[in-house]
Amino acid sequence: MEINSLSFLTNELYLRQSELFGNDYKELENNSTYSFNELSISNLEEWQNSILQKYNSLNELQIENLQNLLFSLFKILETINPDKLKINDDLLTDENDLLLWRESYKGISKLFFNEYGNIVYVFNGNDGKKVRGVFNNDVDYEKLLYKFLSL
Amino acid sequence: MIYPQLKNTPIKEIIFSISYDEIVDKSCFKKFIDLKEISERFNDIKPSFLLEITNNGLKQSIDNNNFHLRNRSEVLQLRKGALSYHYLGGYKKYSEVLDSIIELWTLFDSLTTENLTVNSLSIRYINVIEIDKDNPPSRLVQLYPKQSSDRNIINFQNSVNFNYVEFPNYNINVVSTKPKQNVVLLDISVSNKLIHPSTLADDPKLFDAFKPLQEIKNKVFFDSITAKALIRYI
Repeated sequence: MEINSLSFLTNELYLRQSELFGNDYKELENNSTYSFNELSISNLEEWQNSILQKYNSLNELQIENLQNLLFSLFKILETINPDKLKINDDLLTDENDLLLWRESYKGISKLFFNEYGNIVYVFNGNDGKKVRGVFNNDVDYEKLLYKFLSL
Repeated sequence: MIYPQLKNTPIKEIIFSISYDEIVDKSCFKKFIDLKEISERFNDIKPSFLLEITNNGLKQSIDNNNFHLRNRSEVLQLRKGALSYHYLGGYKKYSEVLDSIIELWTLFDSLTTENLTVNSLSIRYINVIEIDKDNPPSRLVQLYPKQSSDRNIINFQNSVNFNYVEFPNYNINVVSTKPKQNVVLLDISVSNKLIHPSTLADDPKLFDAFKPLQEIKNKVFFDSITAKALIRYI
């Protein structure tokens, strides 16, 4: 598992779930780096920036699709099990596709952001199950995200 | 391992969670909170909030896909992929907390079209340890920042993630933090990612899967406090 700013976010969201001490954890974050409520944005921004810096060959369509997906992720952050946020990033250098992927005991879920503005969702199950879908930028990002996070 | 029986404990909040694979339909949450057993048990039921970015900054909006249920000493959080039961009344027997989450889980699971696939179980014990000038954190908890007479530690947060060699499949996360002037939180989580996730629909399987977590959290607790702290509680 790659350590990225999303990993820190996962931990922070987990700690904040405490009913009695969630606010203490929020305030500690506030005292250390960010202002209240901005932690999640900052972590997602940091992750996005690290992706853009690492893979500086991404074109505008890819960046826009990534931003849309992260915006949807931000919206649902506090409503999902933080464990589902263990997401890795990579670049397929031959095709210049940005790849976000996560692994579960069921298999590997992947989202490819290609240069033509498409997002390709692929799931390869350990039991041989395969799922594939190609979407353009009018896709319902939230639904796509849930699909990506559920398997 | 046999640990000393404590007369009182620093436990303030206990959280048991069950994580599952499926992203359930929101009608399940609605049906669940409408159950007589649930509405009678929890007098304060609220939907969770979504955060949205608008031109005027952040805005909270209601999200009927997730719920927060509360009464005087209990909280139930329903998130996509996880159900968490919180006990807020201090110490409670492990078996009693377990009974509560299993009872609630069984009700929730019965409302879904197919039994949910449990992939992980976790328990979390948040302890509040009082400190003062004569008893700084370093004398009471084993996880602390370097402390010396020339330092005034305003706040800190240490987090250690590990597993015991004898329990390699159980992930442990211990956080010690000083959120306020006179207290340190010792926040212990133990989780078990199931090697063979399954529906665990019947009670005995869930009881068995939760059972080893108790011994591990006890070991973590006694490993994390000093003898001086222990004296306070025996």
